[in-house]
Amino acid sequence: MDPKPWLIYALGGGWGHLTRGLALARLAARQRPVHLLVNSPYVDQVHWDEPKLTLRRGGTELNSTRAWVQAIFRERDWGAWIIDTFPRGLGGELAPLLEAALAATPRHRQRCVLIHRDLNPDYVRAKQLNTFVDRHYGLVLVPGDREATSLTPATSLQRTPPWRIRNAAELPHPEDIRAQLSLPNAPLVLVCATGNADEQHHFGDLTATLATHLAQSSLWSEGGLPEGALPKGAIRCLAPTCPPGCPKALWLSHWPALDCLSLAQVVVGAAGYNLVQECEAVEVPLVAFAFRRRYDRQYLRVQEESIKLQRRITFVRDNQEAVAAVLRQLQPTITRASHPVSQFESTRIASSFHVPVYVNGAAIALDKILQQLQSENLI
Amino acid sequence: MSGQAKQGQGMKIRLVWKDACSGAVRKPVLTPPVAIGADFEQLPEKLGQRSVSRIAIADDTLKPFHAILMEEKGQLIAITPKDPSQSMADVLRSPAGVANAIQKQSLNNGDRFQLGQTPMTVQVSAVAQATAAPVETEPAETEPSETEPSDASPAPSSATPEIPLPPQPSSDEFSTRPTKLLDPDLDEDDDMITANDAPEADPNPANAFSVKQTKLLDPRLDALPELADASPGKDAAVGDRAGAAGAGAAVAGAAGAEDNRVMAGSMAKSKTPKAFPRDEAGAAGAPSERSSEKAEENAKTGCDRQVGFLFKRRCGRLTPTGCPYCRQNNSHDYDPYEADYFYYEHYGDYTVGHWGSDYYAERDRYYYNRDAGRMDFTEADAASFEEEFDNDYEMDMGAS
Repeated sequence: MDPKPWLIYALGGGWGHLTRGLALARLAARQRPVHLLVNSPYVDQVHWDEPKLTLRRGGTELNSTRAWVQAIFRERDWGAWIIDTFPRGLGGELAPLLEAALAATPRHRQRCVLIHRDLNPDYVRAKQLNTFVDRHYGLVLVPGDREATSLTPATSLQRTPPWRIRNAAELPHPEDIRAQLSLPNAPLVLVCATGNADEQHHFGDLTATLATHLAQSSLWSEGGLPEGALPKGAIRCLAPTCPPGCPKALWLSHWPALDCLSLAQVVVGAAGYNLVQECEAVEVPLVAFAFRRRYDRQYLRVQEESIKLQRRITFVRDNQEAVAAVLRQLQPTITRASHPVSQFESTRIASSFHVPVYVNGAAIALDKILQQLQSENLI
Repeated sequence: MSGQAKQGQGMKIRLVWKDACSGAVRKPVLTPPVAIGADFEQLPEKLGQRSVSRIAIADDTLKPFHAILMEEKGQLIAITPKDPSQSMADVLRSPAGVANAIQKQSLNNGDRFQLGQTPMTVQVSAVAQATAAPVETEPAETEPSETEPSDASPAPSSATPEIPLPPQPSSDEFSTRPTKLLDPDLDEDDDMITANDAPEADPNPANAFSVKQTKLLDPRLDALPELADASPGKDAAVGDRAGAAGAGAAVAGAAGAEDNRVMAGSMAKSKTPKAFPRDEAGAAGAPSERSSEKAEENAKTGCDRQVGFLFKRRCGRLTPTGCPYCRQNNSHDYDPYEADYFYYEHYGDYTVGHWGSDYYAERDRYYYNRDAGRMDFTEADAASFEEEFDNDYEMDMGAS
């Protein structure tokens, strides 16, 4: 008998829910059908090669999206309900579904899994989420060793390493990516235009500002460059579409960003879940803004990580601070540029690439989910 | 008071500095000796038999082990190497002897000094300067079990320092000058509490209204995240988030040792004190008689915690039920404005150069009705905002 398909709920803006949900779904879909519900505006950028994985795309209009979600949950007997971040659903639409399922089948709780990315404690309290999670979820997974947890349910939280969209062994070689993206053989400052669509202009402006500052930097360019020339180091902005304000020549598009990060001397972006964890995975310094979010606490993540990672992540508040932080990160590189640039660059680049070694927490999470379902004889 | 209680009356100091990375103001309360440097791992856990409070600060100009603050005959002194190229670790290993390789500088309450590029202010507890006075002025709230130090607790203030420290001329690097406190919230006569007094989260919601045996005199001190995590025996991992929200400091070191690990960059903006303190004994057994009295007092007069963002005011709630400042389960120090303090880092700072100072100077411009000179925004308006906290949740399907 074919295993029952799993349903993974990963609604939410930005990249985080989409990428995290896909990280788990693509591994789970090697053994069973998996349906992944998403409504990120970036969903068209992602791709996968698991035939059993079905991606269901929703909108953002409140009532119609709620109804769409509820219809999918009711359309069949799913083997597992795996809910990312929002135990009641992003629009609260899962609460009546969970209550009805529990009333119909008291053991339904055992097939419900919550992926607990951090949540605003106000929300936790306002909706009494601890009580709700205890009532409806048999397993709560925290996708990161140090990811903050605002939920304190009686159901124990089980931590995994951070979830990544690729296993370490699946990462392409940096030189292949460099060639694919036509990047110069030079130090790279990579601006990742993560976050919401209305924040893209911020990264576009930042990319232009960084290019201007670095072109004017005597350290970076050894006495300055002719007007209009690009610095010897490269600055690129990674985004699905060219952000407003970003020079077209500096725009890159590639998914997943994790492939490109190890090429960079320093990455600039928002302190969302993905970018912070991915920069840590490939051991690249991150200069991070903490954007306000309704549910996520980016400022807390940047603080925690700056403590733990000992400055591999630098918190900045505006473009001026970001430029200064980038220059600081480049300083050891720049100082050594008193040697002939070509020699310096080839030496540095040849010695900087290494194979990232990390554990993909999504695989461990999958094991934990399977153990939970097997212990309850649900598979 | 028992002799054991007296033993716990050693000098307590509070160091106040602004973290260069996050902009957060750090203000841990510590028991000397205190080792300060840039690399936590190189700071000693003990000097002789005395446990050391360790503080690592993200400052490139600091040496890995830069300085020691310690008590000598009731006086707080700062010790740095004579040779600026040396670290304290070098000095302690010096074959020529420690005494010839160091310089000392006395520090008094309110003194400001600079380590590397980090200006700091030190507050010395009145109890230490008086040497004989107890830490708490509410003896009714003191029990021997609260003040009894662990075996590894720092020695009392009268103990002889482990390092022979001859008088030395003052150091340029470590010059001190009386100055105003960096944090205007702190009064010079703030009483100090020990890390041992830090309240721990009570996992039992039923204990939410029991009163903790505490030495707190000023409830503002209880908002310090450092203290919330600095209980002996809680050998937490770095940045372990168990405990108060936003607490970035963690405890490290041998079990039972007071060893405050304070890393720059962590959140230290919790400005509201705890309400409804709980009895540590409550977790293990019946609350003490004093705790019951305190609980009854709270029940009559309401919560003393200062709440609100724009206008701080006494909470006054008789119960934490429905209170937006008290978490439902086990934490009383929740601050719903944690994020706001992060993004408006100088909120509440009225010193020259910060917005608070300008606000006061230009207050006329903020009147809604300038002709009438009448403010059209009152504390009642501010209070009304707090009831709207949950209205916006689950209404945006593009949120994250």
